[in-house]
Amino acid sequence: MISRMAWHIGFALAGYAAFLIAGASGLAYLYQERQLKRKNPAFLRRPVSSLETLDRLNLWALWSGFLLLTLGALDGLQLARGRMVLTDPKALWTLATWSAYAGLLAVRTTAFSRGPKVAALSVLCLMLVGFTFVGVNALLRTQHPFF
Amino acid sequence: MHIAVLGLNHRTAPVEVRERVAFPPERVAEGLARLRREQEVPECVILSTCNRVELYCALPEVNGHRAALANFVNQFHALEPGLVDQTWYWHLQPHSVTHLFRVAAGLDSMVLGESEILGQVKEAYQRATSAETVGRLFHGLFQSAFSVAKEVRTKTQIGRGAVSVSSVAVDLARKIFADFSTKTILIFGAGQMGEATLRCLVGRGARHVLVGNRSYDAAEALAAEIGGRPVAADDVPAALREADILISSTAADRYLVTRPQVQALMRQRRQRPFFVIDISVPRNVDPAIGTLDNVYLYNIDDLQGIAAANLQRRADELEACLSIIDTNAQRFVQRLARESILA
Repeated sequence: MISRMAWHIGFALAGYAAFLIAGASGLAYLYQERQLKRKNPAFLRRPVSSLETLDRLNLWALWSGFLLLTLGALDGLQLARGRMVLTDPKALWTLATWSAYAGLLAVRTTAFSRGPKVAALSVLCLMLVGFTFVGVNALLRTQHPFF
Repeated sequence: MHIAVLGLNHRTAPVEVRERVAFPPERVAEGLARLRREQEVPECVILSTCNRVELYCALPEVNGHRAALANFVNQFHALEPGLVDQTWYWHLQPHSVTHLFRVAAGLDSMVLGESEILGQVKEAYQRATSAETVGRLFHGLFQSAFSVAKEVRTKTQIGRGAVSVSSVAVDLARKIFADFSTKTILIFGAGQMGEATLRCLVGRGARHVLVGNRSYDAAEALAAEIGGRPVAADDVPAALREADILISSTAADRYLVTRPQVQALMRQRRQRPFFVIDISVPRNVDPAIGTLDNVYLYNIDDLQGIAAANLQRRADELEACLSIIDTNAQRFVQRLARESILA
């Protein structure tokens, strides 16, 4: 029987992995978009995935990561039974990360913007994930003894 | 046995000569049979394309065969004597082997590094195999040519990058869109290059084509040919909303597509990528739209510049290709010499 804690950690890690994919595809999108705008012949000779493919991968990874992080956070809430949610830096930064991705998905799915802006935001949000995942443990006092 | 080739190509003969010497596909078998019977050539292959006519022959001895083979072609096509005599080239082993390897790898082609010729050489070889004019020597020779051509293409960048305006445009479109079959293309104007680009895109799977023209009859004619939908000139701005790719190729002397128009359009399109190919001179699309997010604008200079850069890149690879070819040709000729000693 897998413990609740294992689910909590598993969902969070899987969510972070998906956000890593979203960030990486966003970075690749930004690079390719810039090369296309610059009309660089050397880039055009290279066989690369289309912007559309990268955009689809980015959106899929954003949704997957968001759902997994939501499940991980809900598990965490149940485990903590309401304690430390508003006091623990890890929980607060996770809430900030979750909100950032919720905002990003709202922007992307309502088509207020897409393409390079969403790709850039995916990379920025990934930095937030990096801080929540590693930085909080390194710099702040948290009751989460793991990454 | 000596491997020899008698041929002419786009460099040695003008099209008026090449078209008279060419062997139509339905007459190649007859040519091979007569070559074998009348010239007593044990093995032969005829390569006939729009840019070259070449007779590859295995000869027991070479003296007098150049004139005899040239004469054979004259007689076969009933040409007046002297019409093509000065345009032939004649290569003997080892140059004939090197020549075939170069031809198969696309290094002797009008467009350096093009790959269509390899298919044509394979076809010529298959025709000769069916006509039973290929024996052990030519099986070995042509199989080596195919594997050398493959090696050249994989080890160098000779075949990389499009070298015509239309294929550059298609390459660009593939860097933006994953699947052409779900995209809508709008062509406006009847320029030749625009049509060529459209045909390339349709050949790569584009299904939804809108054809706009000042003359509705012209739009209708092209739409019928391509399988698209004609659009009246007044309806082009509305058709722009549907289009993912715009090919502009008109003779208008002003911008038909402006930045504010595309800005509004992108909001309506919910920022879906928009690829604009402006082949017209003077330009029909305001260059300022190229700075908008998700809009990719390429004009004729951009496309020609990329094609020229790709061609230069191919030329830079030539030395590496020739080195692969020389090594393999040398190896092949040495193997032949060993086998003839052992035989």
